[in-house]
Order: sequence, then structure tokens, then C-alpha cells
Amino acid sequence: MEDLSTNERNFILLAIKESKQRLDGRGLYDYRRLSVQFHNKRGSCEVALGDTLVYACVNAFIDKPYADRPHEGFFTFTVNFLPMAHPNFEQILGSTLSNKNRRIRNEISQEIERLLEKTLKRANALNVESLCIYSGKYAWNIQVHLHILSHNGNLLDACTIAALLSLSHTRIPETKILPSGDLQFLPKYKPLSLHFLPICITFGFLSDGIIILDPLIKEESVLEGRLMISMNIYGDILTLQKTGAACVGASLLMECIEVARLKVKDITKSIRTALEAAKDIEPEQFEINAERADRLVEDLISN
Amino acid sequence: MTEEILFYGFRQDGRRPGELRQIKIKLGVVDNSSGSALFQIGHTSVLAFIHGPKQTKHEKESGHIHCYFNTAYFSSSGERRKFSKGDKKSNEFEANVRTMFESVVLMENNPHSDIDIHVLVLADDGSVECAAINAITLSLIHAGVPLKDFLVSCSSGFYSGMPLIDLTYSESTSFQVISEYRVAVLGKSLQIAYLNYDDIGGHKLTPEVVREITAMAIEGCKQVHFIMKQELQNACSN
Repeated sequence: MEDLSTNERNFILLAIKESKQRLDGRGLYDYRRLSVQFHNKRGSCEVALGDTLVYACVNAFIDKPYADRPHEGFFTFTVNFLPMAHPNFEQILGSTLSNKNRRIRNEISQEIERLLEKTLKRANALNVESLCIYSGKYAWNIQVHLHILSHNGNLLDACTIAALLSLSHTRIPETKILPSGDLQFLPKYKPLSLHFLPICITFGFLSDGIIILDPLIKEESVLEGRLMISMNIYGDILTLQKTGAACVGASLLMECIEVARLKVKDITKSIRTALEAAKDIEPEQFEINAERADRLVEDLISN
Repeated sequence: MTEEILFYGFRQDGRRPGELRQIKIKLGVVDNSSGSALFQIGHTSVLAFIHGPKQTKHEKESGHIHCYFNTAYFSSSGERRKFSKGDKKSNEFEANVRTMFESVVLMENNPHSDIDIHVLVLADDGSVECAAINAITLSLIHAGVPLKDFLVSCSSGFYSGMPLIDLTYSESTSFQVISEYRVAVLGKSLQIAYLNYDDIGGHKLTPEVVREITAMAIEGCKQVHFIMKQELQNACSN
């Protein structure tokens, strides 16, 4: 993402190698401070991981399931980059894009969406079958929109935490099927049935087998490889992915998993306290009109 | 799926848990390319061919590796999922191949030159990614591209306290098996260059299982490496 000069590059590597110090004074296995801010709407939150800032909001509306999967709801993720997040995003966005294609699909957003899909959807953290209301006719469409407001490294972790928080903060109304076959919303709200909280931890590999946790954006450009571990608090590994040119021994991998296990416990704890503090926010009033929701989403995409 | 995975210590196709399927290797199958290899493991067969090293389009930049992953339309049949070019899974694999092979190809020996890797899956019976990585290594060697080491790959899974290697399609899609844990290692040092696992909603992978399953996969990679080396020596001596 960021282009570093040779001096800067050497400085980062030397500081880590010789004195185990990182650019912001952290140790090798320290996580940045996580802070969460909820807004006065259910299902929207801002997650700050150090200086990385991600805004997440959940859109839920009624949709018709696919014909070949009549008892499955929809659960999708979209990652939006804003040019203010990082000067280099402007190049990715391009100035000549039409309004329709404003939602850029580049490698980073694809990677994040894929990881979210793997950890939340495929690992059954939120079961898509639980989103079905009436087989073949009505199902919830849950869309998680992630907006990257500021990019200072480790977007993957920040995005998973933001997506999780907004999902577990969302309330959807109870529904009733009328004898005529129509759908009615009841004035009672329920949370989405998240089975567990999968949390992604990213490690960066430097040469000589040095591992750093939660890399900054400047550190990301000197990394030789990355390891993403998604875990829940029970110690189940949901995804494990090593990419990049660095090669590691099997013992180093186990060490990373142990560190991830501890960090997941801390993060889960802070997610739970944040949710506890924000439990009084009133759920949004739902209307039966599904078109309205569609329009909302369209607005969001076009803006 | 209620099929039996292990039956008196034997798997569906009569293998032991730590046994690979039969491996067949053919070099130089595509005449128009710089190097090509066909890697067959059981019913899975993957063709890889290389164009390059050739001059880059952008002369000022250093060379890159490009990967194009395709699946033949006839590779899987029946209720099995149709893969298409450019879906998320193959996009991810293409990006991974690029970074993975940058670690073994000595790009500095061919400055300002690109290497195009084309992968075509001819038949899909599980462990396609692993077969593709092996096929790419073989085709790079056949093309004479300087490599640091072999990159060999093997998949593994876990079923009722027993690690399995080289999963077939029906094993890897079974909810009773923790699958597919894909590992690629360097042939000599056995350092892990690539690792990919995603949960399919069955049993959960715990750190203790990771230790066993990784050791098993590396053991499988060793066997694959041995076979590949032998085949290459045979091919070179003829």
C-alpha cells in the first residue's frame, strides 16, 4: 500500500531486529488499543484499532430466496473504500468511474470480503438457514456494509471485529405469517442468532523468522508474509491462511496459534463489554415495504 | 453424507490413513509452451504450463509471476459444484500462487522478465489446489526456470482421532471430516510456504489437531517430493 524509502525500510527492520521495538513503541506481540463507538441506530458501529477506523452497518430486509436454495437467507458483505482513508485509495478508486461502479472491487476489498465470508458464513457463525422465514417465499437479507474511514494497517482484523459488533448489535423484528400468506412484523425484536464470535488475528512475518502481531501500514510494506488465524473463544480454529513469500517452521505456527488464543480472549471480552454498554439503543422501526429497504441500499451504494 | 469414512482402518478407496493415491507425472505435454507438466493423483489430474521467462510489458518494473487458474467444464460432473473462471476461490488461489512462487523462483536471475503460469484442472477428485501446486513446480522445472527448492503440497484432514492425507472429493466434502487442510512446503527444509484451511461447518479444528494434521501433511509432502524427484531424474536420463 505505502511506498517506503530504503532508509525507512531499514529503520523499521533494524528496530524490530535489534531492540524488539516497533514504530509506535509496541512490543512484537502487542495488539493496538481497540475502541468501539456505537451510534444511535441499531447495528451500526465504528471500530478503531489504533488509528485504523472502520465503520460498519447492517442492512436487514425481506427478500425472496433463490429457487435452488429455498430455505436459505442472504448474508453478504461489502467493503467500501473511501478516498479519505488513505491517499493511495484515490488511485484505486479512479476518477473516471461511473456512479454504478463506484463500489470498487480491488484486491484488498476482495480479500476482506472473502475472509469475512469464510469466517462468518462458511464456518456457520451465523447460520443462513436461520434467516429463512417462509421456505421459498420470505427470507431475511442481511447485508453488512463496511466503510474504511482510515487505513493504518491491519484492515482484516478491524473489519472482522466491526462486522461482528454490528451483527451482534442488530435487532430484527419477530415475524408472523398471516393466513393469506402475507408477512407481518410484530413489535417485538430479536437478535440474530450468532453461534459464536469468530475473531481474526493477523501475524506478519519478517525475515529470520521474526513475527509481529497486528502490523501497521508501514510495517505491512516490509512484511514477507502473513498468517491469518480466525478463532473463537472456545479455541476452535475457523480459518487458517498463510500467504506471502516467507517460510515458517511448524513450531512457529503453533506459537502463533497460542498467541492468537490469548488475544482472542482479550478481544472477545472487550467486544462483550462494548455490547453490554450499548444495549439500551432502541431498535429501528421496520416497515413491511421491502422496496424501501432496496432503495436504501441503492442510495448507500450510489453515495 | 452418511458414507463411512474409515472402515476397519481402511478408507473408501482402500487406502490406509497415511497413504497417498497413485501419482502419475508427465512432462512436456504442451508443445507450444516453455515448460509443461501433467500431475495426476488418483482421479485428480491437473495440467500446468509456463510461458516465459519473457520480456515484461513495463520495462522499468521488475519481473512478475502471473497465474491463470482454469477449470475444464468437464472436470466435475453430476451434483458437484461447477467452478467457473474468475470466481472468488480461484481468484484467491491465483493470488496465493503468485506470492508463494515468488519465494522459490529466483527472479533476480531473470531480471525484467515475466513468468506466466497457466493451470488447467482436467479432473477434480479432491485436493485440486495441492495437485496444482505440484504441477506448477514440475512445469517450472521443465521450463528450466531457476528455483531455490521444490514446492510440494499435500492436503490432510482429520477424522475421529485419526489424521488422513490426500483427501478425495467425497472425503473432503463430508461433514464428519475436518478438511481440507492444504499445506505446501519447501522440499528440502520442510518449511511451510503456504497454508490454507477453512471451516465448512462440521467439526471444529483445535490447536492440538493442528499440530497432528500439520505433521501428517508435511509427511505427505515428503512422499510427494520423493516421487517427483524420481520422476524428474527418470525424465532427464532418457
